Amino acid sequence: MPWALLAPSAAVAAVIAGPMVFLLGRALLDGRETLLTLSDSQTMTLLASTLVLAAVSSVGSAATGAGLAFLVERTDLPWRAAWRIVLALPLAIPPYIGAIVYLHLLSRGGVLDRLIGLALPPHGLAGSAFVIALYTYPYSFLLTSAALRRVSRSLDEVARGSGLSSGRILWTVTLPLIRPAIGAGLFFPALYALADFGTVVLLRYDTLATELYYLLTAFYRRSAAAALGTAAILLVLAFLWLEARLRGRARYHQSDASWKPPEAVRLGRYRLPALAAVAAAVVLALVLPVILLAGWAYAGAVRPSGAERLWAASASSPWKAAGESLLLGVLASTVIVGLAVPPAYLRVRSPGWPAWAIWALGQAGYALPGIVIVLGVAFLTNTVAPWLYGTLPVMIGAFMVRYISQGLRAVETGLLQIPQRLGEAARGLGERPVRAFLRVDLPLLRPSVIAGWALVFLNVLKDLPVNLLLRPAGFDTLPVRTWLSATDGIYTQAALPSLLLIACAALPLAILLRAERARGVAVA
Amino acid sequence: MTVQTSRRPVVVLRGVVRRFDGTPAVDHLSLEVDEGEILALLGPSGSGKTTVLRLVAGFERPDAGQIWIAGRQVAGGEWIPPEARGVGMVFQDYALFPHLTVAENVAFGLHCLLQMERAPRTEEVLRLVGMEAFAARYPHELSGGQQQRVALARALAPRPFAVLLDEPFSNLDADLRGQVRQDVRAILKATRTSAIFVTHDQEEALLLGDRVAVINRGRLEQVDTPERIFHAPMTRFVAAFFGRADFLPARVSRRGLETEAGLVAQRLALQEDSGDGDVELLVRPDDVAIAPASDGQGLILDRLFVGPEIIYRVQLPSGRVVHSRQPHTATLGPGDRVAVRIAPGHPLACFRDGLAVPAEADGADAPRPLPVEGGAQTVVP
Repeated sequence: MPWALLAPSAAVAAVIAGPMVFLLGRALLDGRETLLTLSDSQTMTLLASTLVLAAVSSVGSAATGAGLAFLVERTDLPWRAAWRIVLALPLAIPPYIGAIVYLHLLSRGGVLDRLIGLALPPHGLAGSAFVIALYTYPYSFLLTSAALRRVSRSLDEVARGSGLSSGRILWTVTLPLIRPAIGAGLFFPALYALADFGTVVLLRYDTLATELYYLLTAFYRRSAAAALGTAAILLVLAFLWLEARLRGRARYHQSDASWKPPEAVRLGRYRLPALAAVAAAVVLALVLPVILLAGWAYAGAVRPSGAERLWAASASSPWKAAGESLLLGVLASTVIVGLAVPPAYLRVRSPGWPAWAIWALGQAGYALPGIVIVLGVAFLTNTVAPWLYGTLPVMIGAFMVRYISQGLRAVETGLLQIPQRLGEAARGLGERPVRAFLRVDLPLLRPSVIAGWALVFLNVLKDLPVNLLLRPAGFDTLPVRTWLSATDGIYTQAALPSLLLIACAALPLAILLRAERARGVAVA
Repeated sequence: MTVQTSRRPVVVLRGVVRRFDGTPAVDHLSLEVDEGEILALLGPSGSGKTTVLRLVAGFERPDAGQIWIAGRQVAGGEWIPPEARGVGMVFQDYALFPHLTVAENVAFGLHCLLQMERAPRTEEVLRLVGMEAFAARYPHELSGGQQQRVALARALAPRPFAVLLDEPFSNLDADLRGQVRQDVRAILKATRTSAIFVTHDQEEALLLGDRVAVINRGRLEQVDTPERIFHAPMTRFVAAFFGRADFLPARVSRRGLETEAGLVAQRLALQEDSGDGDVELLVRPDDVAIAPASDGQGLILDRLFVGPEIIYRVQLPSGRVVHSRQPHTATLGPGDRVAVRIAPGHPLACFRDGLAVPAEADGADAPRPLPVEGGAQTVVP
């Protein structure tokens, strides 16, 4: 049994570890140049600006998400059930699309400039942090909501019985209990700010990721790229270490048996301002962008300018791009979740260092900027099998490095809910291990496997670096199509593919939000 | 007394050892279960009894020793995986497949039968456990007792050589437990199925087992009929495990056994006054007589009213406490002084160094001393 699990698990581990090992090896081989690049004052500046962006956007994102979660879960805000869903929907929109929308809306010569002569270019730190926070707050919102729902009412009542005021209870009981969720809500946007190049390239803010992007696309310098990639890996490891330190050994689980919905805080005269705040988040992140995109798509289709017509003629159809995006999403998520089953089994049923190692590799892969993975994958394929470069399997391999940890977590969550006794009962009734898995575990795993599948699907759809930089010739998926028109400044041509992308992403997101409500499956 | 004739063991364990992280959970255990016999494995929690069951089922591999099922070696040489052993297992939490109906659960192990034979067999087994009306239900729609019956039906359906039950009644409410126990015993007897069941409840073991095997720290203390386990415990552990038991130090003399509660006229196969003449006497509450006496050596500490009778806790001069059972009409109360007398209607069991000391050349009723190598009923503690 363990061997049947170990062999595929080892193969998965090799795929995940390969690109990282290659990148680090490359940086070590060019030791002198690596050191020079890393100690360069320009690198230091990039590092500093990356950290500042990460800090500002993660604080903004976590504060927004946690505040909204508190309003929705713990107060008498109207239409709470609807807000719960709607506030998570911006997850369907990748931040670079948000950047496109706000650029076209606010910059000089943009929509507002032409309408009322107001230009507020969203460039630089403020704009980048705003867009990143706007599209990463749902992580913090979902995590904090889930944590708030797990806090037992009896704890509140005990505190009240000890004579504490509502404010003191929030501060001394509720906040400490949801601290891990708030910490995770800080962690995700920080990782995103570190990894993202789409938003910041458009909004002209330089980070490690933008520099890597220029090195890879405009002037191809391998050694410098390897050095910066190494710096990004080190930064991510530092983040992971910090996160583990902050979380410590705290596990704040309240038993489900005694769970009662906590008493809602009465907002009173703050009811309207609270409602306005919640509505503002939805309008800024979701309603306004979708309306603007729809308007531009319409304008671009009905009365295109000469440049737009010219650009559209040379590009592939957005509908074909949608088909390719869906194909890629289905293929990648099926392969990734399928391959996550053996290592997840290994970790749940026979824990030991091999299982732990695969899990840790997956965590590292998830935390790494996509562009660093692209770099590693490019080095690896160009050295080992150049004929593979720019093919679907390589793309899927790169997605696996990035998202296997989400597949692992989904399958593990499902497995932990299936008592091992069931498998033993099946074997006691005369079924061999593989058949026992197919007849008992697999049907029971289905909901969590579907949730994991939807999560990977969503991420593959939204991903930019792998879609853009590792694509086979002519395989222009929706993110690629959107990105190319946006970087050429033809925003109206970016509108339709953006809308299609949001529409495609809505389906897996719906599956996910459902699973999250029903079984507490992590969306983040 | 011991049945040595026409025995056909279905499950045999010989010198089985299973260690976890170096410490033995099962320690050189040998055991046999005969055809149609129900064997109760009894022991405190952590004694290794569930591990024994899992070894027989094949979910654990022994570190030493051999196991045979229906005459075929399955461990300790040849290794047969669980699915090929032909034993049915009933888990403590029943482990019914939640995605299958009752009928599908029961038919799960019937994959060797032809399609057309499965339904009749499923129906037959469900009728046996009285669950035929629930065939289309899902496990979560059943009560605990009903789930229990389905789990038994599922284990019985493939006609296993033996059924293994792991604490099968511990998840049931007390008032349901008694009835379900009787039902399960009746079903096992009706199908002449050999069974091993694990329990930490001594009453359950005595009630259901044809024989009872008492396990302590991975070792077999005694395996015997319920009556003999209770009346002739072979070790101090077994004696202490069943019912309320007090141990009184006694000195072996020519006249009998001298205790602080008086003389017990009973002779042991021991050298009297040999210096090592001290033994421990097992006294149960009904062996201790008390009578009100202002100069008595006993002091009543407590009066425990347990319905039909009263158990008195009586302190002796040494500070030692014994229990005495009295009719519920007894009027003595805490603080009263009483005369204490050991008045059994039968020879009392005596122990030295934890082992039973035989009575002097007495008949079959006395505990037999010791381990005869290869003897089925005796044991090396």
